[in-house]
Amino acid sequence: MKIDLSETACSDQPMGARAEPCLGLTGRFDAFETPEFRSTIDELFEGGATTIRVDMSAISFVDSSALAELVRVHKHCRELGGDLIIVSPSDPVTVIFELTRLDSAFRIERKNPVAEVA
Amino acid sequence: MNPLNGSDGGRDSGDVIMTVAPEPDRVDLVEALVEANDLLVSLVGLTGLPNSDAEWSVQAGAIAQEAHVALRTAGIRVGAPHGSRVEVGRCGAPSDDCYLYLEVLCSGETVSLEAWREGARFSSLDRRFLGAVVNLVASAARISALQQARTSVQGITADHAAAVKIAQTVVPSSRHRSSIDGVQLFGATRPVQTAGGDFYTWIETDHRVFFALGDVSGKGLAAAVLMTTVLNALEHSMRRHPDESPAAIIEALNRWVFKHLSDAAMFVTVTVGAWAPATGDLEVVNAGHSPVLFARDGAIEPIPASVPPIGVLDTLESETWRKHLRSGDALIIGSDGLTEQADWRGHLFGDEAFANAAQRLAQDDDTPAVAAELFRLVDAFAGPAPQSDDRTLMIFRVDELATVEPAQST
Repeated sequence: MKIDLSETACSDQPMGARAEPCLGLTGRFDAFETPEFRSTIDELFEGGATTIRVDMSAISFVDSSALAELVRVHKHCRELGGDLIIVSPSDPVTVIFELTRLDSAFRIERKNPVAEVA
Repeated sequence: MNPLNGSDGGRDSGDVIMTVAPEPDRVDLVEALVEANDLLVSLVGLTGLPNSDAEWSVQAGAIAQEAHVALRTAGIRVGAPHGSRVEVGRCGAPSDDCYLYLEVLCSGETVSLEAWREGARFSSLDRRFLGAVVNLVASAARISALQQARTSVQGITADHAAAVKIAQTVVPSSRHRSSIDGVQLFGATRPVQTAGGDFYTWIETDHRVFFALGDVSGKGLAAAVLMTTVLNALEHSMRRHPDESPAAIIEALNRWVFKHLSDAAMFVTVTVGAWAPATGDLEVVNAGHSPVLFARDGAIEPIPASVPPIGVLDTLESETWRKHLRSGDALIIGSDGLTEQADWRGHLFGDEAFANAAQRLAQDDDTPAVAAELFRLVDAFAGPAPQSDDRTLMIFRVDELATVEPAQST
């Protein structure tokens, strides 16, 4: 899985959201990838982040380890008074979120429609 | 004691101190060099790392002994028990070309090596020989450190495996109850060696039969420990509060898990059901779990999750799926280790294939045979691909039910 934390990773996010750190994820998100994801996220927490956006529009597969990692981030953000925002989950991710009803737990936002069309 | 340091002599165990005697015959030196290196290669290089502490001790002892012999042949004493440092004065300052001191840092341990030739400078052959000895010491130190690390990992792995195995004993590999007021229950689990998160159970009380199947996220000891805790809590709740609804059981369990696992990246998907023979009513609550399928008259109805898994939100407000049962109805609950089993190409068995198989098999009243066939289908699909997760299955089936009019049509 590729983790993009650069300024261009979520450049298509709404203007108001750009102050929050955003991770753009690409590829499979499974048990092999969670250590790097956790490390990246924890650095954001150490840097003072309380709300984190995770763009999952390019994720092709997500397993229970990845879901557990998202749950951990979600809980930690909430404890800090912020939130985890899942941005534009891909179809495979959406199916899993719906199956587990995590779609009712996570805050899910869509990308700027203009950007999505582009 | 360092394997190459033949004596503790009151020094740190990592020290190797050598004094170099007047230069011997050069042929002897070369032979000693060859012997020392050959020894290391033959003892370690070809056979690989020792398999146990005892084996390492034997090999280390042999290396030390042979190294001593080789070094003495070369006129160099290793690990002199007393007074080595006295000879430093005779040798002169370390800046003189008759003194060698080095430290080998290996996995946090320092092996020191000092060597002198009394009253003379090191020859080029001395340097080569000492270089070989240094390599020998360094190699032995690395091997020793690797062995210690491996022994440590082996110990942890063994403890881990034992703990997982103990945890998994609370979930029987299969269990069949053929007659409970006209229904039968069958459960089976096939854990992956390193996993331990799946569980199933049922509890019969005076007027209800509770059952549950769940999956703790993750693998290994942490999942196994949480699994046993959740299972104990569920069974305790079912026994102590037989009039509670599945929803109340799940919501109470969620509060406890959420509170105690706030920092853990773990959650629990679970389906809890309660069957009341007196009324013929079945209640099911699904917290983030799949697949959960209700089979009637050859048709399959998925029972979707009404709330996220346990441990995600601080409170849950679950919805209960209710059905007035009749003979031939069946509830089939699996774990994602069945539906997410991949074949060699990486394709998943899938929810649809599982539901199709369940639909075809659900009318068979031989629940162990139905479960065996479902497991076999997943095995056949996987082919040479390894089992990727625990596979657990539970079948609740109504055989012969006394006619009970539904309190409310469903």
